[in-house]
Amino acid sequence: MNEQELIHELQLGNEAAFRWLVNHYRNRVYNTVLNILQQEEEAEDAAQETFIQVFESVTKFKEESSLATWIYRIAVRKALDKLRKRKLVNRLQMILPWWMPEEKKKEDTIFIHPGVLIENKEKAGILFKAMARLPDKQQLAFTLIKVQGMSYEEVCDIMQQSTKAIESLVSRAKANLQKELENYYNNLKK
Amino acid sequence: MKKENNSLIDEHLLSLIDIKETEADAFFYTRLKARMERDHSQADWNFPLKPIWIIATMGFLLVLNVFMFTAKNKTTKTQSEDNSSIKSFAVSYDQSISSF
Repeated sequence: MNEQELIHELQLGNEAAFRWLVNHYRNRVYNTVLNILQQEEEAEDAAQETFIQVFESVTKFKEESSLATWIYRIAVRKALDKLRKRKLVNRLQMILPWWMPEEKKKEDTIFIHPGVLIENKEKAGILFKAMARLPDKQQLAFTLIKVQGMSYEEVCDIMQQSTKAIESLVSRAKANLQKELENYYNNLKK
Repeated sequence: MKKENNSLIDEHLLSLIDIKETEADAFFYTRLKARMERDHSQADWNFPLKPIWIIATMGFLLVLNVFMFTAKNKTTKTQSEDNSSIKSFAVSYDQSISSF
């Protein structure tokens, strides 16, 4: 089944086609949202929401981009929504510290990526923690390129921005990460 | 100094070089279908609880309250005007209670 046939079957509501699509893309979608959200439960939730939206809006898909890019775009949007919601909750917790104190503790923990080799877990955890402090778009561009290993072209399509804009986001992300890592190690020395 | 910092990032990025793709849950599709069915069955019951409906209902009740309040005020005002005209009529013809 080629992509156009698959899209046609999905638009007809064919369950077998949907099952094939989910099984084909689930790991890639799950990894993308996991790298952004750095929480397994939230990542599964975002991955599910991505496929629900794919199912519900495939009839509106105009094939202006590839199916994979369109799915990634939805996944990234879902992950960003959750990230922004989390940041809003954190801000509210700062104003009202008695509100949901357990959630705050969750934010302070270091994310251990299940796919990282044991000997690299500590450094990867520190890097992920620093990445979580970046502004949303910088974190997204940096994650997709440096962690997910996507090409600049793919990221441009997913984020719907020019190559220059993505390069600028990655370069600013690197500069901010430098500061974050420096601060982290300086604090350890103290 | 900048070189040092860059090497710090590169050093940390090296830890991600052999990162393996994480497998999503084996029952991902089953869980997804269950969620879709649950969402579908709840969708009909959920619509009055959507924020837009709640805000619209609150707005309607507020407008209704303001309308009732102003209508009530108007009625009291006309009633009191009616009472005073009856009293003045009675006084002018010396038919008030005090005259008996």
